[in-house]
Amino acid sequence: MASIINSISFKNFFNYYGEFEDNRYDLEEGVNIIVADNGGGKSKFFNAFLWLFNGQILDSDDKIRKNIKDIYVKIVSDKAKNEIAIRETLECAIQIEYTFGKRHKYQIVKSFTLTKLNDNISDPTCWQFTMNDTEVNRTELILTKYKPIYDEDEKKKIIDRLIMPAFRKYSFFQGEEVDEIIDFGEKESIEEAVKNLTDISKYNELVELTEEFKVKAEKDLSNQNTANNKQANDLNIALEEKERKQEQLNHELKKLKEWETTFSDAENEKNHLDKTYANADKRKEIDDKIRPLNKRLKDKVAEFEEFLDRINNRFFDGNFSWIAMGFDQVVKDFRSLNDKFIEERYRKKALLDIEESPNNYFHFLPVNSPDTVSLQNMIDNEHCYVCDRPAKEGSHEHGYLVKLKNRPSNNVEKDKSFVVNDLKNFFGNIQNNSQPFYNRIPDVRNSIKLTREKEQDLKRQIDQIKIKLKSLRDERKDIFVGGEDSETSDAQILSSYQGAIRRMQDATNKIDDILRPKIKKLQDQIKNIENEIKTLNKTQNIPKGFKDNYEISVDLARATFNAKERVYDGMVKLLEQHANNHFQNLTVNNDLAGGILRFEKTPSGSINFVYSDSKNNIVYGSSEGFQRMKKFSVVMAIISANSNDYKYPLLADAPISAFGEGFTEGFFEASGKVFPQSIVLVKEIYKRDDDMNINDLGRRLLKDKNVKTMYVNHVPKGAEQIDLVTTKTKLK
Amino acid sequence: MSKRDEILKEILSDKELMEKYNINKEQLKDLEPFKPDSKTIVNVLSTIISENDNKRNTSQIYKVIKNLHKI
Repeated sequence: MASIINSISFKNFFNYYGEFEDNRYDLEEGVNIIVADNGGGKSKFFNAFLWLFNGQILDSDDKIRKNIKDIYVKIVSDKAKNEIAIRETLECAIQIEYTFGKRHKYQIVKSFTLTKLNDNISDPTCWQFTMNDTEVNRTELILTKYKPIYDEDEKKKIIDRLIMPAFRKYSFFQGEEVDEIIDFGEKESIEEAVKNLTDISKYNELVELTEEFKVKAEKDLSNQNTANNKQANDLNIALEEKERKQEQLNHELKKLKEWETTFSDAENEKNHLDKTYANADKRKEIDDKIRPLNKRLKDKVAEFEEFLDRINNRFFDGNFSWIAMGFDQVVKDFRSLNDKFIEERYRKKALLDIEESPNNYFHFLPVNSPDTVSLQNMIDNEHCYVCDRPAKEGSHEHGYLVKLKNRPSNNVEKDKSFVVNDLKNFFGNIQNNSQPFYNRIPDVRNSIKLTREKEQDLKRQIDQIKIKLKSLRDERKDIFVGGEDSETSDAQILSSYQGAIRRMQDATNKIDDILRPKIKKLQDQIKNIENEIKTLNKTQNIPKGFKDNYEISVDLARATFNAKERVYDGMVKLLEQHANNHFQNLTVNNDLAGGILRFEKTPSGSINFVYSDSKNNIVYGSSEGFQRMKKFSVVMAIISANSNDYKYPLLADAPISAFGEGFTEGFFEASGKVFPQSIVLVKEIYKRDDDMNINDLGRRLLKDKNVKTMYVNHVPKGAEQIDLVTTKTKLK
Repeated sequence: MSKRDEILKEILSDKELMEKYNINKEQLKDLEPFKPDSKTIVNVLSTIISENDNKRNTSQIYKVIKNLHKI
């Protein structure tokens, strides 16, 4: 029976602003894909499951999983927090619906409530936090109405059934986490999986029990032994000999355990160094990208600051005169007033001239106008160009032209003051001096527009660099989180590495060449003594029940141990076979041939994971994509090799980041075949400038019959955190 | 088949054990402990498996085994 998630809805959960119905994703059996760019709500979506199963949320700032009560302010949509008034409450919740089998459907709601105490929305102390009870409801599939469940144990059972805790490790993962799930460096990884898939822990318990019963049966038998006959004596000797051998065996087993620990410690150290060393390489690669970006950012920020400084000047600088924006009409008004003033002034002056010299010919032309040259022309041509009429020699008009030409050049009378304050020059100077300034007024708007564009452009460039830097720093942080950084020098790493390998070799020699043969010899000797004891028992006058008890307990102890080994080895073999099938499917779209996966037992009893080529040569240094697919193959083998009826969905956030299309395609094909349902959050197929926001691979997947639903998440471009709202389009 | 039956059959499928206690493949297939004709070894193992599931301790289980052997 499989559990299938029917829907997931969010209420004011991170960017998922609004009610459940605004943020509901309906999902189906098969492959479900949620496509989103960075910041589009992928990890937030995944976080809902973390909250559901673990009561935790992954803090994207430091990549640490935190309890809800420690991170509640970050979880709630900023837009929602900003919109409510002080003393009002706000609910943040997730709702998941799933079916199990053909009869029941369940609804689980996890929520908390915040009450606003003041407007400082990002300060946790400004909110009152109340965690609400988990709501679990059930309905028959044919009904529509849910009925609440109140029993806490029943609620837990329902949540656990969605994905059993023991299997979450192999079903529920985020980004790089898949590396941690099946970390082949950790010897327990595959054992853990085998343990979860088989009843191996039951067998272990039975091995211990049957061993104990064997000892008890032997003691009981010994107590029944009568001391005074030869056979009894022989039996005693055999029992003593067996005890002695048993002590030796225990001693050797203890030594074996110590050497296995030595091997295991050295193996762990080697694997840890492998990781650290690999991280050092990876870190350097990222640092080489970060360094020039940091410089570019610094330069851009400096350019931006200088740009801002220059903006101040533009307000007052004669070249830009931004402060005069909108003053166009004032200039026109000033000109028109000045014209009126000049006209009025001449009129007054002319009237004064007439008053003072009524016999003089007066005119309203400007002083000294027309000039002497023009007047001479007019006299010569006997025509007045001012009023465009003839002025024949001897005529009154001709005489006037001659008179005008002979006018005194410095007419004292003219300068005679005729107003109290003559402001003609004052106004004229204003007009002349401000000319360069006001000529630019019409261009101010354009100048501001260009400056604004430049500002936006600089900001965009800075933001882009910052985004790139953040992504690189996050990547670097992931390496720290995943691999624990080391400041140790390369030489020290190499020396520790060689030391670990030497210790592993020593331990292997000691275990394989000395201890195991010795232990085998002691075990054979003990087995022979036990046979001797059995034979002696038969001839002893001891109640049959004691003899049978001893015989059966010895046989059961041995058979139980063998059965445990058989079951364990069988499951390892089965996993190996399934893992190889999946690996071939996952890498089918790659040009390079994927190798063969082999699980081998190490001297410490753990499973060693070997990746070899078709000629059995171990393959080293495959690309990260292949490494990741190897692990996925094992994760998939764990579900496909599971003979139980219980199947669970795959929930994965960015499991295939940047491994190329071959892997991406293979991943979707293979996961669709193995998991009854997979919900995969992915950015690789997102394409911003596409009408559906998906790339070609996305379109191919959209047509794929295994892909049952596909959503694309959107966030407003360049939105501030406070306005960030994730919306979605259902493509399928 | 229950988990207990599975484990019981897996342990008893040991070749040496089957030979020694005359358990053939057919019998192994239709194994039912505590029937009048069932073998002691089958009853003992079945007791160990089920009593362990019942969370009884070693001494308690051993007492039951001794009862099976009538000692």
